[in-house]
Amino acid sequence: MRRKGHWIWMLGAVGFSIAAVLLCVRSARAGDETLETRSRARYVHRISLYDENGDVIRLTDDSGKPMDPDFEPIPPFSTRNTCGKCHDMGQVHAGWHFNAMADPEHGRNRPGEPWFLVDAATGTQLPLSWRSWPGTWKPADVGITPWEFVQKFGRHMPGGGPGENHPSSTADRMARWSVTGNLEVDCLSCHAADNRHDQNERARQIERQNFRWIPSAASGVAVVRGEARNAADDYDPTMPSNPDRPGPVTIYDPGRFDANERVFLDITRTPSAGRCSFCHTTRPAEDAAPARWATDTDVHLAAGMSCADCHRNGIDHNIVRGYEGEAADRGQPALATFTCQGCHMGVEGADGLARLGGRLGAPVPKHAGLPPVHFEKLSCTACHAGPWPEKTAHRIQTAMAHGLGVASKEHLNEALPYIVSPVYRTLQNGKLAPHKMVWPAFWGRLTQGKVTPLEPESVQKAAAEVFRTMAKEKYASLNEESISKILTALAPKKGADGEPVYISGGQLYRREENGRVVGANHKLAQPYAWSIGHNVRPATQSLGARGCTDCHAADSAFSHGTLEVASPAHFGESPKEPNNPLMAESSTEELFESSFLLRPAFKVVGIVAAFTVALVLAVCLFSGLTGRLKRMGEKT
Amino acid sequence: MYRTVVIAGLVVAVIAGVLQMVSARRAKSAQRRALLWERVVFVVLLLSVIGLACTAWWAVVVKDRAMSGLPLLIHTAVGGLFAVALAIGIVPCAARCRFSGTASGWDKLFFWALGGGGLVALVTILLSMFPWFGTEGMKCLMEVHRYSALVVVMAAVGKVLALVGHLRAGK
Repeated sequence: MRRKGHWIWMLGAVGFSIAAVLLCVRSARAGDETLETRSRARYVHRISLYDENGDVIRLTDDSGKPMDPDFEPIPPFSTRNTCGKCHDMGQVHAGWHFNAMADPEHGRNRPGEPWFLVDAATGTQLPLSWRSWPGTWKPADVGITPWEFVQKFGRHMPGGGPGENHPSSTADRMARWSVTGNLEVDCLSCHAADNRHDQNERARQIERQNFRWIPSAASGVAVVRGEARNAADDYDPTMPSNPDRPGPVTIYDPGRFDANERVFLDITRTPSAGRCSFCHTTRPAEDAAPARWATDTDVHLAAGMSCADCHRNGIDHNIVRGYEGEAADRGQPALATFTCQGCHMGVEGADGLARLGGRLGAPVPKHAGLPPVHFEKLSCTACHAGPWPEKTAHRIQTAMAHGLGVASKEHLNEALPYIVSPVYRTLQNGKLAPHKMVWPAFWGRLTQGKVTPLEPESVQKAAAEVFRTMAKEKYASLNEESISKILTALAPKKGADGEPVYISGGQLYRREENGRVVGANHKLAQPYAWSIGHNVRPATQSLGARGCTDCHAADSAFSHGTLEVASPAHFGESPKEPNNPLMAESSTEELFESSFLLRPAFKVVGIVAAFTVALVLAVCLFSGLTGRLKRMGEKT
Repeated sequence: MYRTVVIAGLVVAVIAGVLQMVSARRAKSAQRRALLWERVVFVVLLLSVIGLACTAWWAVVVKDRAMSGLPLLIHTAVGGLFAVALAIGIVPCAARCRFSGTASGWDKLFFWALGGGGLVALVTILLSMFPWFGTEGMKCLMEVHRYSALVVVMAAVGKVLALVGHLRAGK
């Protein structure tokens, strides 16, 4: 009896525990939910600002008197705590712009634009990415820590990733996260609808290592004076600064605060194209390139759309990239409607609206006279996107690679990395598409067929004498002689192993015993290419608009254009490659092109033959019918 | 789908041809002997049909993809030959194979299948060379082209088997 009672108590306790756990999970989930008004109307963000400790930013004390920053510094506001009051920042952090470090496999099937480790003196242009994109290097491979990464590339990062997900200052001795603060996800960087929000100011604050002050300074809510890079190691933003090594000071604009110490932040759910353009701008990098006023924007933008109309996302910020196959990659069939084809022509095999296409009024293309085989061989972008192909692909610069948009950077056409576009290469699905392409260039050590890149700084240090005596040209001053000298300077000392090599322009260069530098093909020297989707040209300016010979002709730039192998090192004249190997190296393409000369004659012969056959069959049919009618008449 | 129809169509053509072979053996033919140029045209027509079928079906039936590259070039060139051979070859048979003509029922069937199928195949491919049809129209033209071409091949197979029957009966 006593034993039975014991079991009842035990069961009761277990049941209670399970119920308690379930309740906790449920309440935790409820707490994670995003606060929303559920209205299409924009929520007016007249809100309190919170600092990184979660305290409200106040400009006055309890008695209503203005605070004295000399005695009690007012901290900068934190987007994590301010925006996080209502929005689930945990989900936001897993989004496309922030998850490269935490989820490197995300987006693996569609290589995108990498970051570039660039050093003009050593002729280094190395594609870097936290993502597992074949052809890119992980920052750690070249000794770049999250701390260094943020300083190099934070100018065009909306925060998060290595700016927050980093080892502590003790693990990385160069890092000073406790002084600079984290580079938080800066929601305003994209969602600010206020023209006073200054992304260039973000870049300036990155240079000063004022990471935690960025949202305050860039939004214009405050002016930030001082630089964290000059502050003492024991700097505490909540305490008055050390007069000898002062840290940053936040001076809020009192006019932005209302009587309740709330600030109006002009926020939009759908960022304008101008916001995206800060990081996603491309410009031609050649003196002969047409001026900006002479070129057109993307047809979608010209029609009044914004990038986010297609590249959408929910609170998880997993932005639709819009490529064919994304729906399968992410296991979300609805994404297929956001590809060019899905939007303009509908999704084959889908039900309902998805089958119809025409989202946001997208016109259904006629493609009159275009044989359907083209849809199997080409991506939509091959004919419709990027610059019109010319005899030689051009050098271009991008915001992420060349720091466009940042006022403190030089924007010379010669600046590394050398990126060429449009380059026609096949995608993973086998379709031809325009790409941007770069040949990696870096110094490394070759051990058992594997190359380990060397940091540019260590190359400069080891071959300091060579660099001093090299020509004073700022860019592309490497030649066979200087490369030979640098390779000699990098020759392994006792204890070090690996033959020094230089990779550039698709070749791996080694120094022979006689001092000559010889190049050979190597897997790691292969170019890295990432496909481009924009600018989309109008239909009248798409390839094929003038007929088949836009592509299938001996003088077609699309099929027979060339490509300069752009390299920081000069070995005589730069080698050239076919821009579109699929077409240029096809054994039948020339024959096919010449067949277009005979096509008019072929049509005439075909029409005459068809007419003859039709006439004969018509006569037979007619005579047969008349004969039968005649017989019927005779019978009656 | 098309692959299955092709196989079924060829089986039907062979059966029809064999039946015609058998009937040709029993019934003594009252046909006139074809002239030399008619025979040459027929051989050209037959070879072109074989060439067209091989190039097209290698891609579409065997490889399950659209025709392109060298097979497409050969297909196009042979297609021109087929058009000319069909236009010339159909004339001498027309009188005999019209509904009230003297040819056998099988011969009439092969004539109309070859002529009708060939005409449709020719017209569909000619229409697709002009910028008149959009994507759906082009796909439709290609489908019609494929099936009408299958009818041509079926007629050619049947006709060849029938001729073999006639020749053996003649011996």
